[in-house]
Amino acid sequence: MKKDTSQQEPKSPLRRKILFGIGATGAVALIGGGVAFRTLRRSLAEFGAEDQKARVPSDHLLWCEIGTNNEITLFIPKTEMGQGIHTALAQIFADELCADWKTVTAKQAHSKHGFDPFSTMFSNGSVSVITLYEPARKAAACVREGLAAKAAQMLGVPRSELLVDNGIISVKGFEKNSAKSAEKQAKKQSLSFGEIIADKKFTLELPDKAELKPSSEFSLIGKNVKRVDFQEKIAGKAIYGYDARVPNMHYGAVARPPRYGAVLKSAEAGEAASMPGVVKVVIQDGFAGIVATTRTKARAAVKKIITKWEGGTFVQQAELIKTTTIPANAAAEGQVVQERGNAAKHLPEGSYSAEYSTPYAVHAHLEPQAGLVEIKDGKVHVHCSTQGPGLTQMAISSAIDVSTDDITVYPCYIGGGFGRRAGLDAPKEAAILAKASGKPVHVGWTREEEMKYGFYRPPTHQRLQASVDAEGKIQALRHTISSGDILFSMGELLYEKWGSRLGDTLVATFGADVGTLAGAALVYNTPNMEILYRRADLPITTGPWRGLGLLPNTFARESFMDELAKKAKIDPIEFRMKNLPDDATGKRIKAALQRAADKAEWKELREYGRAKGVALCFSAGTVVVQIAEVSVEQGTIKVHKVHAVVDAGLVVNPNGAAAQTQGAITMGLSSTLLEELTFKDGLAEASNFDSYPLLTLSQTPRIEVEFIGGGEKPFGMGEPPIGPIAAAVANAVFALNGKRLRSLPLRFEAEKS
Amino acid sequence: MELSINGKKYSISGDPEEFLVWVLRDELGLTGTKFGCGAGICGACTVLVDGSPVRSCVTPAVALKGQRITTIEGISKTLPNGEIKFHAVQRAFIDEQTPQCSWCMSGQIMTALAFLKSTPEPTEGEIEVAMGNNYCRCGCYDRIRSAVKRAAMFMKEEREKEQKEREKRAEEAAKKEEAALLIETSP
Repeated sequence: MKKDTSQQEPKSPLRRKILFGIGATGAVALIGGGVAFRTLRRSLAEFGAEDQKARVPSDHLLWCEIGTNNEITLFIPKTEMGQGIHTALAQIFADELCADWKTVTAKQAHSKHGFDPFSTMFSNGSVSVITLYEPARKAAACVREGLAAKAAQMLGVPRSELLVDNGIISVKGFEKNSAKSAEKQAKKQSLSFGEIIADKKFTLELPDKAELKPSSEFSLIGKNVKRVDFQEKIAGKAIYGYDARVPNMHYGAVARPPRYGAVLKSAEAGEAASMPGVVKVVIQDGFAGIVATTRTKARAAVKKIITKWEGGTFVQQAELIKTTTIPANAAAEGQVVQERGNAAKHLPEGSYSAEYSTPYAVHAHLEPQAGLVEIKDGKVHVHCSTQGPGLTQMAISSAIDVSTDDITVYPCYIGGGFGRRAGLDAPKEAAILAKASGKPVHVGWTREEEMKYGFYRPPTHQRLQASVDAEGKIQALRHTISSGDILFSMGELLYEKWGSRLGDTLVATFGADVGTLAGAALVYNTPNMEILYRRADLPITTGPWRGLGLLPNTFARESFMDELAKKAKIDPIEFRMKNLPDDATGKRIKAALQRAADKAEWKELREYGRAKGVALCFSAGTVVVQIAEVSVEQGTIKVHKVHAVVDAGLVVNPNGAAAQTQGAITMGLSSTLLEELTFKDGLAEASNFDSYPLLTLSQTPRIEVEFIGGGEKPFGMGEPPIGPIAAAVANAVFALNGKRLRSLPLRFEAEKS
Repeated sequence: MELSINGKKYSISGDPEEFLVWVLRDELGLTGTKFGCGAGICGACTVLVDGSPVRSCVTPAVALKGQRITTIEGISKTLPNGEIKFHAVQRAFIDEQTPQCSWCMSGQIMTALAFLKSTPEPTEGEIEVAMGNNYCRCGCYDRIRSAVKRAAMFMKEEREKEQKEREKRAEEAAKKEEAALLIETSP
C-alpha cells in the first residue's frame, strides 16, 4: 500500500525562536517564542543560531570616526581570528555610509569603547555577520544622513537634491557638469565628508532612523574586497595576544596538576625562589606561579615549586568510552529534543540501525593561549587573544577582586579561535601574577599546556534507527545522541564561582545541552521521528569546538542516510532528494544538492580506483553540500577533491567566505582522518604534535567552492562548512570498497564492514 | 653575544643558550616570528639562517653566532611614506588571499622563500613536499599551494627583469666603452 506522506503539511523542522545569550549579569537568558516549557524542552534541537539578536549601542558614532582629512576609522566590535570579520563589517558599514573604501581603516574596539563586551563584542556561533549586518547598516545610514543633512545646510539645497557617493556629497547632476564649468560656478556644489566635519558652523546631528540603500546600489557588500588585516600580518607586524608588549614586562608560568581537575592543596617556593631571573614566587589559594625576567626562566623555576595536589580524576580511556556509549538495551531512552508523529510505533524491533562514534579532540589553534596584564593606578589593562572580552573581564574581576569597571580588555588578533578563546586561562593567570608582583606580566602557554590543560571537543556516541518504505521514503527515524557537555560546562569554563553548579542548573532546567545538538535537527521530511539526547557526564571538561555538535552529528546522520540509500537500492543523492521537504529550507537544500551533483559530475564514470561520497548539513541558516572524491592506497584514505556548494544567503565577501569553507573542510578533514585525543590516569596522553598530528598540505585536496542562493539576508559562515566533510569521505570510502567506517578518525583496522 | 639579524648587528644580553624564537620575540621585540609548538614540528617559528630554513624554537641562539639570520621583518621594506614594499613571496600570499588567522604565515613564507631559491620552477609535488612540514590550523593549505606557485612566477618575472636590466646595463657600458675608445683613438 502506498503511504501518502505528501498530504501531511511539510513542517519546517528548524523554525522556532529560542534564543540563548550570555547577559551582562552573567545569567543565561532564555526566550521562548510563546512555546510552552515542555514543548520547548522537547524541541531543543530546533534551536537556530541564526535567530540571535545583537545588543547594539544607540550611539551610532561609536562605529566610526571621520577625520577632516577624509580618513575614516571604523571601530570593529568583534575580534579578528582569521574569519575575516574586520573586513566584512568594514565592508558593510562603509558601503551603507557611501564612503570611499580607500580612506577606510578598520580598528579593533576595546572593551570600554561602548559596545557591549558580552554580546556585541562576543565572537561566537557564526553569528557576527547575521547579528550585526542590519545594526551596522542602520548606524551607517544614520551617520550618512547626518552628514547629508549638514551638507544640505552648507550647500543651501534640500537633502533630496543631494547625492552621496564615495565619500563625497554633491548636488545631483553636478557630476555631469565638466570640471571647468563647476569651477566657474560661484556656489560650491560638492563637499567631502572631511570638509563637512571641518565646518564649525553647525554641529553634526544624527537622525535616529534612516533609510537603507537598496541592495542594487551596493558597491562593497557582495564584492571580493581584499582582507584589511593582511598587509600587517604578512609583514610580520600584526600584534596577537602572544605578541603583546609593554615596557618593563615580565613573564609568568603557572604550576600544573598531575591529573585533570586536581586542586592545589599546598605549595612551597623551595628552590624556585633562588632560581636565576625569578622576581616573585606567587603562592595563594589554589594557585602557584612564578614571575621572572624571561619565559624560559619562569618555566624552569615553576617546576621547582614543591606542590601537593588533591582530588581530580584518574580516569582511563576505556571508562570515558564506556560513559559515552549508549547502552545496547537503551534503545529509546533519553530526553526528547525533537519529535514528529510517533517514532516508536513505526520502528519495530529489528528496524535498521547503526552506531557511530567520534573521539575527544583538541582545538590546536597554533597560537597558544596568551595574555598580558598591566595594573596601573588600580586600573587593569589586559591585552590578549579573546573571543569574549566581557568574559575575560569577568574572569579577571573574580580572580583578583577588582571591579569590571576598572578592567579594560584590548582584544589582539587571535592566532586561531575555534571556540577555545573565551580568553580566560592565560589572562586570568597573568592578572594574578601581575597583582602579586606589581609588574606587568605576560603569560603564554606552551603546546604541552594546551594539550593537557585546556578543554576539549566532547566525545560522542550515536545510534540511528529507521524504517524506509518501498518507495524509498523514510517512514520513521530515531537518532540518539550521547555527548559530553558543551554549553552545560559553560559554568566551569567561564566563571569558576558558578562552578559546576551552573551546569547542574542547566541540566535540571533544560534536560539537554543545546550545544551538543548543533546540526542534529532532522532536515529530512519524515512523518515519524524523534531525536533523543543522553548526557555523558565526563570527568574531563569538554566545551565549544568549531561548530559544536555539528561535525559529530552530521557525520552520524549523513553516514546513516547513505546506509539507508544503499538498503533502498537508491542513489544517495536521489534518496536525499526524495526525503527532503518542499518548504523553503528543503528547496534551498535540494538546489544546493543538485548543483553539487552537477559540479562534481556525480554520475560520470569515475577515475579508476576512486569514488565519490556526498553529505549535507543545515546550520546557522546556511545550507552546505559537499561531495568528496577519494581513493584508498595501502590502507590509507586519500581525498583528492572536494566540491562544496553553499547557500549562505547574501554573502558579504565571496572570496572570504570561500576561504572559510575551504578552511573548515580542511580542519574537518584533519578530524576525519587523523585526530583522536586519548587519556591515561586522568591526563591527555598527547603532549605535543608528535603525539597528536594535524593534517598537512600534502593530505589536503583541491577544494572548489560555489555559492548559490543569494537574497537580502546573510547567514552564518564560520562553522557550517565543517559539518558534512567526515560523512562525505566515509560515504565515498563505502562507495569505493564497500567498507562502512563508523568511527572517527576513519580507520580500517578496528572496523567491521 | 652578537647576532646578525636582517642585516643588522644586535647585541644579546640574555642567556646565549636561549632558543632563538624567544631572543627574537621577547628580547628584541621581533614578534613576526611566531611560537607554535616548541618542538620543531609545526613550523610557525621558521626563520632563515644563511638562507636555509631553521626552526627557531629548538635552535639555541649561541649556535647562530656569525651566521646571517633573516626573519619575516627582514624581507620587506617600509618606504618613508609608510607603504610596505613586499617580497615576491609575500605579494603572492596576499594576491591569493592565502592566510586566515595568519599565525603560521611567517613560517610558511620563510619556508617557501628558501624553497623557491633552490627550486625556482617547482612542480606541484615538490611544493607539497617542501611545504608539507608547516601546519596551518585554519586550513589554508589549498591556497598556500596556489600562492607558492604564484610566488615562483613572480620571482621568475623578477629574475627576467633583472636579467634584462643587467643586459641593458652591460650594453650601455659596452657602448660607453666603445665611445671612450673612439674618443681615445680619434686623432
